[in-house]
Amino acid sequence: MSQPVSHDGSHAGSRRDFLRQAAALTGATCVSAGAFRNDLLQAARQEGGHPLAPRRGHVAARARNLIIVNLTGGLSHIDSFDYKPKLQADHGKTIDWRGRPFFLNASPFRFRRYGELGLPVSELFPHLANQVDKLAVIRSMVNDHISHGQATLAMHCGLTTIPMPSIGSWISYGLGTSEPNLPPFVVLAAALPYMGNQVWDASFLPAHHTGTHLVPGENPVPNLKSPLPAVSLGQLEQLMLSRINERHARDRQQDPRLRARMSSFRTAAGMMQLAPRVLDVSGETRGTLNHFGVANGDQRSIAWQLLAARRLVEHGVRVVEVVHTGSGANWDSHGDMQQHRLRARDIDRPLAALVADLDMRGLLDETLVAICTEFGRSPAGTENEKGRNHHNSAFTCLLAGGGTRRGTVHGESDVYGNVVATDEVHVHDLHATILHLMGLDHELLTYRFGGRDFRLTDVHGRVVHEILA
Amino acid sequence: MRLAWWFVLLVCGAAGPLQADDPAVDAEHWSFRPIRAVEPPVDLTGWAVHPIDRFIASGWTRQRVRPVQAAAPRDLVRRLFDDLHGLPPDWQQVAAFLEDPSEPAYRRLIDRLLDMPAYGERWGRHWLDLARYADTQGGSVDCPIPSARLYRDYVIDAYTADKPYDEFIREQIAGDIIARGKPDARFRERVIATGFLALSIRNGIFKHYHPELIIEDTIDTIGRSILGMTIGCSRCHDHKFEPISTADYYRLYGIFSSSRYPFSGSELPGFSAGETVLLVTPAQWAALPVERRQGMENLMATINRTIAADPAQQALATKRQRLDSDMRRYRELRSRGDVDVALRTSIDDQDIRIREEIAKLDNGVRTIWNDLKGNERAAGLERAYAMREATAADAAIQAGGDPFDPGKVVPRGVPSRLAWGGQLKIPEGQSGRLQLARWLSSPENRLTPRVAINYIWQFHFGKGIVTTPDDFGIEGEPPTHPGLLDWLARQLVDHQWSVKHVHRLILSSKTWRLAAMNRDDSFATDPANRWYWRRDRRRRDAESIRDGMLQVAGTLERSRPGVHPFPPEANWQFSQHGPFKGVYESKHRSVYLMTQRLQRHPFLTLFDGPDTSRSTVKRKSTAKALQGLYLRNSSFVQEQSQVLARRLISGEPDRRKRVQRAIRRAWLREPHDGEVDACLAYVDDYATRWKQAADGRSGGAAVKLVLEYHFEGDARDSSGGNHHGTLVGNPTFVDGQAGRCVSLDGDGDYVDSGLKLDLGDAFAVECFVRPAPEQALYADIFGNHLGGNSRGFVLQQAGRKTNQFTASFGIGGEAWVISDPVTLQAGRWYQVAMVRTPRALQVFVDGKLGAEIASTASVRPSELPFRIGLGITLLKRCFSGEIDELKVYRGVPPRYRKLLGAEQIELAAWASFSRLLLTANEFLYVD
Repeated sequence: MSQPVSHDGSHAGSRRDFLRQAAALTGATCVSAGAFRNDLLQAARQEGGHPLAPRRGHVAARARNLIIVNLTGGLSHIDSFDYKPKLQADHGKTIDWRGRPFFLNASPFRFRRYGELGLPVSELFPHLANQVDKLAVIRSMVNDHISHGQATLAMHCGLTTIPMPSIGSWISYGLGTSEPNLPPFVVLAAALPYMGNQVWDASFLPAHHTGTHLVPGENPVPNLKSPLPAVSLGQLEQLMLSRINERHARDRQQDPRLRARMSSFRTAAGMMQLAPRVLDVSGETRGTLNHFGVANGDQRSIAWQLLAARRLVEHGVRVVEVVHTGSGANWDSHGDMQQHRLRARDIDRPLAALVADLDMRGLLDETLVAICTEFGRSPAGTENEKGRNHHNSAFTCLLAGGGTRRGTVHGESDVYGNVVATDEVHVHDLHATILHLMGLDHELLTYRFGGRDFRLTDVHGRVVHEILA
Repeated sequence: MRLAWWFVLLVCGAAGPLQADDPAVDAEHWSFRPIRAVEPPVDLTGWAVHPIDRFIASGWTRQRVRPVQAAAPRDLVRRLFDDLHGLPPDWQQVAAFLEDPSEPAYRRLIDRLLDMPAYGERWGRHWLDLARYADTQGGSVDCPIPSARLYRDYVIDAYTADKPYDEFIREQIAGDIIARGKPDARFRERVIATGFLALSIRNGIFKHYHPELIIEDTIDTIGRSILGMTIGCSRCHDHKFEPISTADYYRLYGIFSSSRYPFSGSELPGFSAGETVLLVTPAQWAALPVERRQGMENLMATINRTIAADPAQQALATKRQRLDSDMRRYRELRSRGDVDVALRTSIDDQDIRIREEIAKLDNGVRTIWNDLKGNERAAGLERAYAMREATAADAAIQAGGDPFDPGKVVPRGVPSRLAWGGQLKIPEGQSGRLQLARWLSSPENRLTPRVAINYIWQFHFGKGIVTTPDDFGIEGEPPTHPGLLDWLARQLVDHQWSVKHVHRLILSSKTWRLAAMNRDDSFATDPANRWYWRRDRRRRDAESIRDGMLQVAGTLERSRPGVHPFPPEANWQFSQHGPFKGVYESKHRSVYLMTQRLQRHPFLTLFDGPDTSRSTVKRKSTAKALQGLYLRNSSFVQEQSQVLARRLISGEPDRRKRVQRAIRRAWLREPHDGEVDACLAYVDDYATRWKQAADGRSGGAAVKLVLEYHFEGDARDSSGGNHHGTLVGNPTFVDGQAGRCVSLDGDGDYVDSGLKLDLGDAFAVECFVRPAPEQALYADIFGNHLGGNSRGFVLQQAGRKTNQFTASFGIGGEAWVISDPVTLQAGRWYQVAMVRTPRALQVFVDGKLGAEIASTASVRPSELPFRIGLGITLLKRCFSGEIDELKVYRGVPPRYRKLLGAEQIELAAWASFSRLLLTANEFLYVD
């Protein structure tokens, strides 16, 4: 059997330029150089360049990768990182709110001050609280909608109404990827979030930028495992397929798509080898596993997901979103705020470990961790109500690393955590800031669709320079 | 010929544009000008006779490109089937055309293909893309619309029947009004046709939440699919580039706010049936038996009475009054430039609470509704997800798209700049949909015919004459061949809007029949093939890949399926926290797959299928690595290649002929020189390696006997491991297959080895067994499983029928790998073996493979000891009958490996070959 024919292009000049550019952008991290070059080379002929080839951003990038931790259902700001002594003091009092009497409900959780910052954090997050000097805490977030679906959509796509490209897709589109054997945008979600897979859809952007959904558990990547009894059989089949396709392409000149398809099979083979290695955490030290709280054989828990997220970005995945926990059994504690305890117990330790571990490895400066939720929870409700309702007029999101200033608190809500008092950060502003840190200008990152240039931030957005290092 | 070509290039290239395509001096934007009666240009090349070819050839001369030759008959027939049916032909059809590829034969073939329902399934799908068809509503709950399929089938049938395009448009916009005006035999389909509007995407968790967004989707979809205009942007501001103002938008808006959209359910459900349309004419209603009719009328009256009498109604009225007065106050303040944010939030809150209460009221009569629906079904009546008229009223402009900020009221109508022949005249009390429908489908409309032609052209050629098919406005691309576009548009209008007439024109052109090959000179000038000097090779779209695989494997179900297997409506409890999700397996054509909006269909999405949330005007065509993984490893492709392999093997004993038939079947051509040899060498090589892999895997010498019970009066282990069994209950010993055997009473008797087994993924357990007639459900012959915990393995009774047994093993979570059942008759001895290889789980009965399931998942070891005769401990599901000569092996003994044997390896090798046939570029791309 002959080896697959190497693909010599007729556009040697442009190809060399392209490779030089690709190499310059990816630097030393480009491990599987052979497969990488081949792929980019093939695709370079397609539409003038592989849609996933690394691209230079608009401004100097502070972060190379992004990990989004999506706390679905609405993390209560006033029970976690936005301590309100006046709310605690005025518990049970009635205020006139939105034209109706409302009873103020104090947080049932104890707060303590942490770090040099001295930020009060509730007992829900004892581990993450210890990392507070590495965080940039935004306590003045505002979202446009009070329903889960619309608010979640806004958090990912900018608009509350119409599904648009996800922030991960925009970044993938803007920056491409350095590891062609892995998808550029990966989503770890045991259950679908509100609005389902629309929140990681590329929408009108090229489909390559759609988030690849991995389901934690036995087979996270669909169809990754070969059903054949031996690797050699798969290779044999692959080789024969290459020969058949080669013969087919020989008679069909100047159609780069045929080569792109052949290369997609090679990438698939690359993924079959690489993805299990990346997702297999057993090679991590016992110390790291304990730090995250990953038990032996676990490949399902949120701890495993966060560790896997770190491994994915380490291997060149541009954006990873971890969905905790999905559209059910999540942070949406209407009935009783004690439900927050169950969620926090699962994620607090691994989340703290993620930040600490990235820092220890020197990766925190180039990895932006964004711990987000679609809205907060209301300080007021009916009398003696144990749970809290949705609240989009003030809530908290946390950023870490990736060029944010360590140990920053930005913005304030009012005395009860009801509305923003100073330095409002709208979802569009958060998006503009994240893009900025990734090296993208939110006003320049556009895509023409249906006769209009679309942006993640619509016609809004301001980079929150105050939290940048 | 060559000389002539250069001559023409020199002469005409220098002479400048030909008259026919000369841009008019008219300052009006090209697409707003009347459609011209263009004469096809005179062809100076001698190549073109057909009018289309004359337009195309005149482009070549100016652009200095030269065409490739015509496609070979085999390529042509394959292309034609893909284009018109989205399915590959069978070899007989190809062979017949190769026999007689004459022009008359070609035309006959076109006519035959256009007459078949497969054509409607293919071209109907194109329209369903534009109509953003889905079987669910959208929003955060994504409730199913069981009757959406009626609209889907309407579209397919309309294409098959060549329904005039103008009528097709009219029915989709105002079919219900037309039908009520003339309730004849077409009443049903006309009402159903309005599904086009009705399927506008819904929002949030309430009924008709944010109606302004539902209407925006309606207007956007009409704009993209029929008018080739992006009108949606004008909701919030005057369109930056197009001559469509915000007032124009609200002219259209008023038409739809005067119409009633159906509703199929949401988190707070309400009675959804009331918001769908009963498909019955007054005459049909009158013809129903009186008692039936009265029964339904009474139920309806009861519903209205119950709701009206509910004490909550009174409270609701008060709340509505307060909301109204708050809204008035807010608008007042706002008109003075004062925005009261708190009041606005309070209004939102009140609105939500009122909706909740309405839903509660609706819910109170849900049982009566279900009753009514039962009555309707009994009377043979159907409901459709369709439109109705509502109270007619002009709409106010919403400043910045905010419905809380109404401005000037504008009369209903069409955008002023497009009001050719004057604004709509809408009679009192009508929404204006009928008038809009007539305007859209009028021959005077300058956009509709052009846009229609452009889409038809795009689906034939892969790109439109206007490459921005949904944007014929000022920002869009101008047509590459304006004369051709107008000529074809006139053809459409002049031939009773027959789409099939346009197909025949295009397919009979030489342009459509060009080969998909390269020529360097033209490529250098026009690499993107803007001037159609060659055919653009097409990657099959998602549906054609799937349908094609099913077709070649011989498993495609050609009939039209019925209702999707949605859960019964009475049980719906979908919410934003638990939205509707479903993927339904089917062997029918992909156009019939259930597609939803929130969770897109995994296969269709992977291969760039339509966006179900907005009008898809052009499919993407990507080559993602995940597609590679799917084609290599997915169970669907595995299954189709297995079926194809079986078919090939049983269909042709001669291996050389078999390869030839396979290549004809999948690739629709004769094998190349040496190809048969290469393929056979591959099959042999593959089989050899498979054998080596199978041998190497469980490695003869590595097989180790772990446990061995002869049951000669006790449960001594003679394997050498000394894991002697404990007899629990009161097992007895009777004459067996070799000496004596153990007899279990099914009521607590079992043998406990005390041995925890972790045998990895290569092991075998064998024994003789004679089941008694009565078996407890799920009684174990042997095993060490934990029940619900998905650990360990077991050979057990299969439930329901008493003489069937399945093997299974746990893979963690709540997942089990379970084999097909084998039958073990009561009172007979069998030698059974449960065999686990790293790739499969098998059950052998008397030395023959009885059942098998492929699985690469790993067995999760159990914490329980291995036991014989005991089911789940607590439930004491005990086996009743005799067991003898039980042996447990680590590794697979050769006799079971050998039995995997020749036949299966042969099948595996041909399956691999079949997979190559179904995943090669030659299959995925159409020249």
